[in-house]
Amino acid sequence: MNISPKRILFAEDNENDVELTLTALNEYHLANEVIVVPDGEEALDYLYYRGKYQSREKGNPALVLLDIKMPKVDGIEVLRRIKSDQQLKMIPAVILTSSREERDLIESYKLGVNAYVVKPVDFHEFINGVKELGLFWIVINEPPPGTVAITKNR
Amino acid sequence: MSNSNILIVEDSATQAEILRRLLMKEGYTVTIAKDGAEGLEYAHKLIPQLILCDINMPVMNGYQLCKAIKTDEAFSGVLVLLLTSLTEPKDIIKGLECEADSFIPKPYDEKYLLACIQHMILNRAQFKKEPVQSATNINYGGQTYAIRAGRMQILNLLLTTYDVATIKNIELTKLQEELKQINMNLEEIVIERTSSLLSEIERRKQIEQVLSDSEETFRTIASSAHDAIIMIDKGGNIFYWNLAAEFIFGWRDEEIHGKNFSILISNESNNEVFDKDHNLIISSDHDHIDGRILELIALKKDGSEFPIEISLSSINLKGQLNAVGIIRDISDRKKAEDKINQLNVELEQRVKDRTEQLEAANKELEAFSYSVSHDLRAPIRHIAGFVELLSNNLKENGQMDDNSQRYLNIITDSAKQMGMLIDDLLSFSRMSRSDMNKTSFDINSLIKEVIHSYEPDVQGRDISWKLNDFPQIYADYSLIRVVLNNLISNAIKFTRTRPQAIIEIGYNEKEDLPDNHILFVKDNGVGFDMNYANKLFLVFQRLHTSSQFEGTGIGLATVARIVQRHGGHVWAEGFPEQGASFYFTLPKQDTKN
Repeated sequence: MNISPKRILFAEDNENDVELTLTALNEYHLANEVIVVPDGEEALDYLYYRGKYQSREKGNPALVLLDIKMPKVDGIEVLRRIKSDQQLKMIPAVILTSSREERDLIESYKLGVNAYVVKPVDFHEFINGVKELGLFWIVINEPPPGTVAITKNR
Repeated sequence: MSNSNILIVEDSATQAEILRRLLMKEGYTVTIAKDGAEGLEYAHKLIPQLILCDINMPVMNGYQLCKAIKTDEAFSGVLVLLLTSLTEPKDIIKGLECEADSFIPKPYDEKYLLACIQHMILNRAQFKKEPVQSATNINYGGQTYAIRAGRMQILNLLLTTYDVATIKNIELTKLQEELKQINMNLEEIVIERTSSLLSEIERRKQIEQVLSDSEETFRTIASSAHDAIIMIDKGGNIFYWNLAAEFIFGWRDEEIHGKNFSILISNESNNEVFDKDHNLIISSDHDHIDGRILELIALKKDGSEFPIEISLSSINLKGQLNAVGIIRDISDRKKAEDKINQLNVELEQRVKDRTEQLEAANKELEAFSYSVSHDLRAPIRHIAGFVELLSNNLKENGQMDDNSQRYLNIITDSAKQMGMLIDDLLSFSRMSRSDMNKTSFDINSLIKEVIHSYEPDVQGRDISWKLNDFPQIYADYSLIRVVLNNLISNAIKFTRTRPQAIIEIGYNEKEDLPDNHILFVKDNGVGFDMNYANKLFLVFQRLHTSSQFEGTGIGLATVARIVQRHGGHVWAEGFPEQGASFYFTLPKQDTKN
């Protein structure tokens, strides 16, 4: 596959979920450009060049994948901050969560989420779902201007 | 009988017509003349067999006509029958003088008249006048009458007179009889009337008795009634006052009689509505008060106030409108009402409290279902996922390698995590629902017992325990044990990265919380960012990832719930990497629940 990978910011506190998700993304070789953060606070640190991300290279990720239930700052809050910031609001943000709680769905769509994906319990469905998600947003979708694109030799 | 010709001389047309019809019915031929002169004229023309003649007539009277007939040879066979009253001797004398053949007394009896006429016509010959030698002179009433009548005429006259007398006598006897009858009737009426009067008197006596009984009944009722019964006239003045009224108001009948009703009603304590009603009564607008029941504040003679209920009715006594008021002292009822109101307020408060409890329970239930969908799914997904990865790995390598071992560990941990979540959820839900059984106990020994229970977990660690001396506390022993378990295990957990853990369990008193014990558990562990302090006590909220510090996010929520159920509250202080302090209060006395 000759593609131009773009950066994914992936906020997820559970290591097992991180591993499963990265396994799925790796099916299309997208896992290498995923920045994994364990909570919403660190996701915001990344987006705002704070803390240990103070000196990271400029540019927004092509996709933000957010778990909802995370320590300190949850995924909904990160979504709110992204969508209310002129610099960040164009970044496609996708909620990737365990539940289809209606209040979470409503809140996410109100805030302008770009997609809301419920993690399937079945492994194959999970792998397929995340894989297609990655394929669509990273390969098929044209990201907004200002997105970091990394050209890799594969 | 037929064809006998009769001339009636009568000035009254009605009388003449009655006679004509009577005679015509008997077959006579009848002619009528309206006076003596006309009678004489018709007599010349007709030469009747009989002339029936009235006495008093204009122009020529009956006597004159009779005389003219009897002195004229041309009428020798004509009979004259005079209708006379024959009540005075003068009538008899004049009758004899004019030589009438016979006389009929007036008023005549029809049958007698007809019989007389028939007799005269049939026996005409007998009436033929015998020669009379000389007139017999009679002096009567200063006048001289020359009587030339024959014996037959005289006899007829006498008989007729006798008849009249006899008839009169019979009439008299009849009248006497009637009088007697009337007298008898009168007597009967008098007797009847007397007896009805007597019975009327008897009836009146009975009515009087009934009235007096009824009045006595009324007085007995009125005086034995427990409600005050009073009557007011149009001016609002009291004119009746029963015994109960004396008891209720303290005024005796003779004291209150004639006083105005307003003396009984408190001016100060009644509100506007009562004042309006009160005016209504004293103005005695009785038409508008009938059937009304009012609640007023009344005044006793001694000036003390009490609530009354007055039921009013309008009555008409001797054309005057009056009001009757039945008054009841409703102090007891008012007290009962106040109590009911107070109970209602309490009930409302209880409903409110219960509603709050239910709302809290509902929130917990929501959190529970939220967690089931979020947190319980994750371990299942992990087990399913890593079993698949393990299986793939085994297929590829044909044997267990390090990766396979790691997958197995993850699978085991996920299963454990799920078990913990389920246990913690159940425990949290039990803490929220279980009954509280508060006692006063020594918390010092409980703390030591809890610390002791963690000894196996902290083997090989350097932990310095600092314990205050605690007073007795009043709480549910087993729930407080859960609180201490959670706080102490947290302190042990979050000091894991410290070479020496310092855990202080202490006791405070604060001036602004004088009725509460303040307890705290302080550690020198990893601490937390105060920005997230509000999330600490919420269900399933964690400040650390499971890889940093294991946990379910339920422990502190359980602590908060238990403390709140005791009427206390919780809070936390901390700073990243500089330790954390968890405080909770417990009311010293039983102020809630």
